Amino acid sequence: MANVAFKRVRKDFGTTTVVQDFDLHVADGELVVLVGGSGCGKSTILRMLAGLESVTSGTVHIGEREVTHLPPRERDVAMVFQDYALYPHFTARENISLGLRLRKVPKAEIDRRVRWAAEILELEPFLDRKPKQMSGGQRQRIAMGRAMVREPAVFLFDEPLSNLDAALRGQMRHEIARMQRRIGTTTLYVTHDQMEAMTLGDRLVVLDGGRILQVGRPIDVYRAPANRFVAGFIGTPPMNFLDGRLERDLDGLVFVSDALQIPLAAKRSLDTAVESREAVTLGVRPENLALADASGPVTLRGQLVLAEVLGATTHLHVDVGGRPLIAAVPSGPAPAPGAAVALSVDPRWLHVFAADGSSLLPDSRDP
Amino acid sequence: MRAESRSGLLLSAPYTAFLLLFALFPIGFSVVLVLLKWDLVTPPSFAGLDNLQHLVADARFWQAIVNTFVFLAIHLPLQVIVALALAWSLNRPLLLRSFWRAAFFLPVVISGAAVTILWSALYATDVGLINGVLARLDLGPVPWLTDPAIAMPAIAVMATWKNVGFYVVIYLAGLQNVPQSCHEAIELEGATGWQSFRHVTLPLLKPQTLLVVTLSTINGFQLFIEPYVLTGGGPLRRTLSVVLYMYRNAFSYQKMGYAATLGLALALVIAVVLVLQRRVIGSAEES
Amino acid sequence: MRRAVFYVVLGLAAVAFLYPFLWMAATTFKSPAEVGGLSLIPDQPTLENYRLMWARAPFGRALINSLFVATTITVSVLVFGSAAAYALARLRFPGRGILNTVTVAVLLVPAQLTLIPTYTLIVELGWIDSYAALIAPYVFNAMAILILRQFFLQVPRSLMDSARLDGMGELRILFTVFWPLAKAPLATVGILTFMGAWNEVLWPLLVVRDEQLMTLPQLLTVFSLGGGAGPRQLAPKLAAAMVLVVPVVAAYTFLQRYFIESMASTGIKG
Repeated sequence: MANVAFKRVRKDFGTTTVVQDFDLHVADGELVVLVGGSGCGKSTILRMLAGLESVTSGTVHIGEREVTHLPPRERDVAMVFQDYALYPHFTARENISLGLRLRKVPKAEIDRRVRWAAEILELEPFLDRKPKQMSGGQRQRIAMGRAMVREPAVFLFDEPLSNLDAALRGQMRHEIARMQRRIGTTTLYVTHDQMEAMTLGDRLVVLDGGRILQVGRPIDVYRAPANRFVAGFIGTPPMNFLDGRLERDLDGLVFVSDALQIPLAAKRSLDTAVESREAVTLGVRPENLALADASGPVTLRGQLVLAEVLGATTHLHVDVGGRPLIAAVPSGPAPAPGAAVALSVDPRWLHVFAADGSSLLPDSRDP
Repeated sequence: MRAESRSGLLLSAPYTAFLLLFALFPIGFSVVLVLLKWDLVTPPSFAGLDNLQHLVADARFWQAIVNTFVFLAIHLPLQVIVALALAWSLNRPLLLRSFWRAAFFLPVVISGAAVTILWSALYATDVGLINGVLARLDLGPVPWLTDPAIAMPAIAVMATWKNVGFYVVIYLAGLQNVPQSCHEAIELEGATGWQSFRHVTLPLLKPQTLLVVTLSTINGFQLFIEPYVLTGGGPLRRTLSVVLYMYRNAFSYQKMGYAATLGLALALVIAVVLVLQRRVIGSAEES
Repeated sequence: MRRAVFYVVLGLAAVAFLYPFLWMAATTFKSPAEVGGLSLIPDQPTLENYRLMWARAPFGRALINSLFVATTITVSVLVFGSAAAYALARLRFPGRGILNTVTVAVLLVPAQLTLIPTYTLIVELGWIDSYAALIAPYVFNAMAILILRQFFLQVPRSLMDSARLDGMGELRILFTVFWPLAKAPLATVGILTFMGAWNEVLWPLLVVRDEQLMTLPQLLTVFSLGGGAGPRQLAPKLAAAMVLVVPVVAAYTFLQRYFIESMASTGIKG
């Protein structure tokens, strides 16, 4: 058990910098998810913590120790890989116990730990099979078992679910969360799947281009994305964006984009943008758009392109003056494609981003 | 990672040393040897361009080159035709298919020395198997290895027999990649089996043919044990090969400089011939 | 009917490849009077030819020499060669790029070019008439390293990472993780290397003159060069050739699929 710290870590491959200014503290027992698109540096960060990749500058700490230059086997970390990395010529039991055997752990202790992991992961029936004779989910559990029996200070997961089909992915996500809570080991988890990140992590670290964009609890990141990239990355369907300007009118502030006008509440943090009349981006999540009823206010008018009924929710693809928007509304009688639709926007949930992408409404807005 | 660099250097160090000693040094030294007169007993002396001048005027060297081309002129077409025919025969559902393939391949795995001795028995004028068979057909004994006009062709036939199984396997792999639909398409056009072979199969086997020709050519220039055991280079030096001549210069005449010059010349001839072959086979593709 | 004709023709072709070997085997058991006959069954089978060749030259010793030389070379190419291939494929170290380039370049150099310089090197090292002369120039093989490197490149990186986290060093990763995965290319390299070493004759002819150190194909060549081609000489020569052929044919009979696939897969002959 240990906390983990990265201090001003930087990684260059030749002349390209893949990670820079990386500072992160992970508390003991915490599950932190690193999330971002491909090439954002998330896997490199994990591999630097494991000792599989050298650190160009900065330091890495596990517990009280600085481990920046220690080889992998001295860092007391265990890792679960995307392709599971099972040794194909060993049985499940041999795969799980190999690390312990190499460390000369007594046989009885090895047996105890293998039984313990197999029980938690419900692996007992498969222990004497080879990886080829097992399903993807079973292999995944073997890989987790191999990490667990090491009883490491830190667990590392590198996209462990991306080789599984959708149904199994959901199930394994729960199992990982359950296992981590039960044994309480500090865990860093890398994924490109924001849904996985949202559901699994105590905290999220959103990365792009080798830099941290935002760190926080999943719900905070969702509600108050620090910039346009995070806003677009977290959430499905993604946030709608409209380019335009802010103007003052009699009732307060209004967002103007060509003929489109959307009123929003005045906030001091928006003043500069209003005065300078600089270009801004308005962000609105699909679930904050609603079909306007006859009595309520109407803010957007457009034409329905497509209605996707997902079950309880329907995604309406609406063309608003040439701009495609998605609204997520409760399923019910929906207009036909081609019909004119009127949408209302809840002004409390609007996001405004400056030209450089940073949020102009950065404060958390818990109701 | 510093540890990784260290491991990498350590694991590759023996190989690096080997390359320096047994690859890079000999390659570099081959050029130096060309300029030397050296019998390995007395210290080497600088010979300038003597070795090269000798080479240009050396009738034996040019005879060996001509002999090699005689060999190739028979060996290459024979190799390609026999290999193609056998591969084509095997490329169908057959009883004992792997047995046939293994039979044709057997001489490939046998040492060239053993095959040569076996063929010395097959070619023997009085007690040889081939003349024995011919006698049954009332055909006179042929002096396979002692007639200057027949000896090299006889060696070419033997080399074909020894290697053809290898090329059968290569052609078979190529044939298995020819899609059935190509044959069906041209048969619907009304082509005969031969036309289908000529216009579909053969062009699609070009890469294999290039490989067969290339490897057989290299083989032809490496001819050594066959003339060494069967004919000693005779009769009338008609089977003298470059490598055999090189071996004698080094081993019997102790002329290291000249032997190395022969090696260098041979390497250049091989390079030129391979490039020309590639051009010819490549341009056949376009026409 | 056409099918029957086809099989007859195919059968004749096979006879052309197999009959000489059978005839050779039969001839070695024939008395001088019978040598030259086409029959495969000797009238009066005799071991005289084997006794003669065994008495005239140290074939037993040559067999042991050949086995020792070919085995040493094969083990070295597999063990040290795979260590080098592993480093070239999976470890970052200074000089790796050059080493890879040189490995490919060396393959393009014809053996005849380096033969004489290497021979002078062996002479200068004082290795003439030694096992070192027979073995040293073959302990690595650029083709083998390329084949193994190509395979090692395909082993998933995560397996290596995982092994490192499990606490393995590079040699242990190579031999306990990569080797079990690489059985097929190792078998290919092993067969090619052993066959190449077993059959090699030009190089031993250059560097070994002592009969006691000669390899089997070399001794066979030297032995067969003496004497004429009459029936009395022919049968003992063939008997000597049998010593070289029989072990290979035995191995080939059981492993023919591997032999053929190994040799064809690389487009290179052993």
